[in-house]
Amino acid sequence: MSRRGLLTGAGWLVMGVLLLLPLRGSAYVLSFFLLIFMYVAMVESWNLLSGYTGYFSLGHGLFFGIGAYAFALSLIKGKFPPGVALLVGGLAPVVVAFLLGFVLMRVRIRVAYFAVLTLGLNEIMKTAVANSDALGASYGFTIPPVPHLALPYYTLLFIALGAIATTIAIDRSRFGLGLRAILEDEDVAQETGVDTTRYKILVFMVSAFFPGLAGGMIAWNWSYVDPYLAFDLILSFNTAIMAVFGGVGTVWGPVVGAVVMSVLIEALWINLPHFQAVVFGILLILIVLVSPGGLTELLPRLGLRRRSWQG
Amino acid sequence: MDLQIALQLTAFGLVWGGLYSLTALGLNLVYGVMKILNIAHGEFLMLGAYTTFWLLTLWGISPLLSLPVSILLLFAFGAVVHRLVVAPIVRQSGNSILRLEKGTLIVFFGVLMFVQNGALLLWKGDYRVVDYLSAPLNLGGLHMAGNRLLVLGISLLVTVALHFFLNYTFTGKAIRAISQDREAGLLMAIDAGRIGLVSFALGTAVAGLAGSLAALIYVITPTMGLLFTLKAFTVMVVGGLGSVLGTLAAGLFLGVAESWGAFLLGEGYRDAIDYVLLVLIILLISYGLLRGRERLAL
Repeated sequence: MSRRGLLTGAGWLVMGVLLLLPLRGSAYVLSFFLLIFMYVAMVESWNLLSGYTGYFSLGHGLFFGIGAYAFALSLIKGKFPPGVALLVGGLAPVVVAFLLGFVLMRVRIRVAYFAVLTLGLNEIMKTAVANSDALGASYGFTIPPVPHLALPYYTLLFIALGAIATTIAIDRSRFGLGLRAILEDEDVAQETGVDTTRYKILVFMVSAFFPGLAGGMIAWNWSYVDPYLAFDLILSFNTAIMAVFGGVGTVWGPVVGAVVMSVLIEALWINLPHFQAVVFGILLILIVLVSPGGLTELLPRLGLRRRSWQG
Repeated sequence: MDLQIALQLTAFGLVWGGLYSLTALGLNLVYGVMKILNIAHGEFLMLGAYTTFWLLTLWGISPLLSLPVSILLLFAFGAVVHRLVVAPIVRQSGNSILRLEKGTLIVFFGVLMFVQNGALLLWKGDYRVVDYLSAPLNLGGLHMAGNRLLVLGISLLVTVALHFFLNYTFTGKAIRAISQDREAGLLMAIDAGRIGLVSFALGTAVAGLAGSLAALIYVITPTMGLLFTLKAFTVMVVGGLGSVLGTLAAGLFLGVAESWGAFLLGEGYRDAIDYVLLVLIILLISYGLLRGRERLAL
């Protein structure tokens, strides 16, 4: 069997195990896996924006938080059925991304400036929500609990798969090619006929959808939402770190990063909470120094496709 | 409104403003020479704050004496960080500015995670305060604690000293030369590698000093750094247009604006004011309505 065939076979096997896991897995195992799915969705979405175009976001959790709040509000205040509320949670950040993109994406913003800017937007939103009585101020909302743990498990599994599938589709499309052209040289891309503004706004919107869905589902699973939890900077930071660690601008790099680092978080967190973040810091420095293309570049024998991310 | 309150708000704002300018100057030293943003700048400041705290708590060393200790420690630490992580990235990036920007952003982010969480691990997240000269003095109707006056005084003094250092010493001039035009600087036989190291370490040393001063008037926690980094970034971008003195003006302005803003809108909005300013300024620069730091030296 070819290497490609082996990989495909392994992929189906993993899928089968994941689909059947709720029949056997304990609550702890399921909770752990749904966290991995959440990170895969977050990191892959981040990758669509930051990995493919080079606009490095340090505040992608903004869309997660907006999704969480849009879900909670439409469920509690709007009395929508949960499925519809989840969809609202996914679409609200897309609208926000469109409005933001209209301002942010018309011009070129330098890498570090964009990072600080996105971080700032997350904090502004957090403060705005925490000071707004209509949005529950700093106490947030309580949400009726999920009927069964299998619900968030499967929902997040499909959100993660959706994010991966979308990335594959974009990666192979003309749209993806345009995004990569922006990464290489935005001016040249513009000159050669890529409508950079439209591409950037579009990818910003796509990258907001899955985090919004995940935010809604996770909020439901938490059965409450407050601004500090929903707009926690740690989520934004972890997302960017996992992507860089795995290898950005590829389909599978961020997935590998999300899975490996989630396991690492879990393994280290049990022993020493802050130790985990110290290790992350060191790994981040090492990966840039040793292998800027991430873990998937370090292990080329896996046959994973990788494209140069850094210009 | 009461004139007394107005004066008081402005005076408090100036104290913070002095601290912001100092922090921004440190950031500027790094940014100017290498054109990279040190997002871990505030973590160096936090280390300075803890230096003052521990020296006072463990051995009763006066904060005034811990200032030079802080400067030296952070200078050394900055030099180590430069050698271990910054220099390799600069080498690795060759001539690609984009690679350098991304590489350093991620690396400094790694430094931030490492230092901040290392501090959390070592010293826990407890809020700590340094009680030094905190009795309020009455200055003709204006009430202000001695430590605030000290912070403002030292901030101004060091800012002026940096101004002279950069304009009238050989090393200072070399730093400005490399900031203005790297190629031309190299042609004038300036060792850009050494200047990079010196300005980076000097930048972290200034951050350490700012941290020691911040310890006198602010709560010390391992996570205090990021907010200072972002404020310094705002000040640097606004004030960096001109000179050291421009940064000073921008810092004082931010301090006063924040103080008044928090009074008028409510304390819950204090940090949001900074973030809004930050976002607006980045947009103004990106839209070309405000000239960025790129072409101008310190």
